[in-house]
Amino acid sequence: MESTIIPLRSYTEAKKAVHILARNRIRASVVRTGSGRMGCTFGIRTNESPDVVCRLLRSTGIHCGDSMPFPPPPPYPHEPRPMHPHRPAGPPRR
Amino acid sequence: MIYFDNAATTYPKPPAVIAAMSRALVRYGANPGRAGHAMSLETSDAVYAAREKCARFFGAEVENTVFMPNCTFALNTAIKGVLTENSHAVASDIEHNAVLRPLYALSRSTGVSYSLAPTSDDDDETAANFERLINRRTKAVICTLAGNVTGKILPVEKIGNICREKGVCFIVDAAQGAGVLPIKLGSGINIICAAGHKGLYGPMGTGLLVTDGKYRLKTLVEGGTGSLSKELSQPEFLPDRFESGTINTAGAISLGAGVYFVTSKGTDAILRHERMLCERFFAGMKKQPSVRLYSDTFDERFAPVIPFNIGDLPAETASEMLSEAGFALRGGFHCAYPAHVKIGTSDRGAVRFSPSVFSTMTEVNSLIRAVSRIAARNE
Repeated sequence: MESTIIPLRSYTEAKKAVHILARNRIRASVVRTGSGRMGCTFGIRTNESPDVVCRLLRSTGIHCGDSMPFPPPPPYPHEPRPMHPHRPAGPPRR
Repeated sequence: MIYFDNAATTYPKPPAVIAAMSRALVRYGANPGRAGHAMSLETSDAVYAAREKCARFFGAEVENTVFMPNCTFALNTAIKGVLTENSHAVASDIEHNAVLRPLYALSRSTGVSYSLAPTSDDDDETAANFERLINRRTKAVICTLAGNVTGKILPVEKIGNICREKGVCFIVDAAQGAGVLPIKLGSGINIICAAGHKGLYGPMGTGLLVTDGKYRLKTLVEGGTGSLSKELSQPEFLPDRFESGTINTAGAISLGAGVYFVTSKGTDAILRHERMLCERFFAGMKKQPSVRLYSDTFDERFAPVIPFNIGDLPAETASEMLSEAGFALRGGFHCAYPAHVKIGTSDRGAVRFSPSVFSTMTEVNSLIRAVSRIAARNE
């Protein structure tokens, strides 16, 4: 399953979320993300369904923000980086 | 130098705290809660771990545990955060300037009024005095857990229950008591302000504000929090709301080590040790005819702090003479003048004896002999 980044509001909240999820046998890690609604923030990366994760986190009082599909982590440096099938076409990079 | 000024700051610090500080300066050198690179995340982890230890110690949620530069800053944040224009506050008559000065400043600027509840040996009477002074404009009650001059332990649970019944925010100044006396959120206590560098054995430049989250606090300081950067208004959520700018990262991490030290030793055990030293010192002073003590006994009513005076020597002179003899004690008014008015030392102040977990009976006996020599020279 593709991993998802779920933006939260702060590092503290993200770390607490990781611990809560771990207690519920859901693996997650803290990441810095620019996908928060109000700018860069911390969130969690997880392979679990965002709906499941957010439902659990909201029940503990943690505000669960928008989620977005995110490409999996890049391969090790010595391997050629594969072209992502879903990377949107955009203007050529300078 | 034999150090007995632990009510000002504890010395020495536990080796684990010194090691944590050193390790933090070497290994956790990135700014926590800002970037996503490995070093920043590792530093953020270390700060979170310290925050968790502090939260557990005071019975708070981790996000409601805020690192502060010191207890004074925490008290200013709490007091000025909760009191509104023309509201009223109640505090005890033995508070430190960290409580009195913000109240006084608010009374001059925003029409806040405040009343000081008389404290006594009778806890029920003390609590009743607080209750009597609460009125419909009262927004906060602030009370020290234990006086920094007299050591008197105040009945914060009784006062907290009154505040809960009356719907008033209760702020406890735990500067002197945290680490030796039991104190947790609950029982009507909404906010605890603590010094990191006294009974919690952390470094100077650290403090804590822990809250149950029931009362929204206005901010004193706004700035970068590493979160919601596009938003101009300060975040509402804790701890970010009150941690603008870069925190004392190494301080916070080593404060966590201090809290762990206290938890491992046990506050009961620390209190027992320090009380034993106080009992010995008190007994030694009682035998000196020219030494003045300010209670009949030293017992469970007091935190491990004993004020005294030698003959007619001004307190600063006595502490200077003790310093020359190799003993560190603070003499003066201890930033708590009303407490000195209460015990009758408003003209001269007092010398304050305050041991720590590292103080020994041998050191106390040496101090007793030194006081005896000074008293004899002064007769």
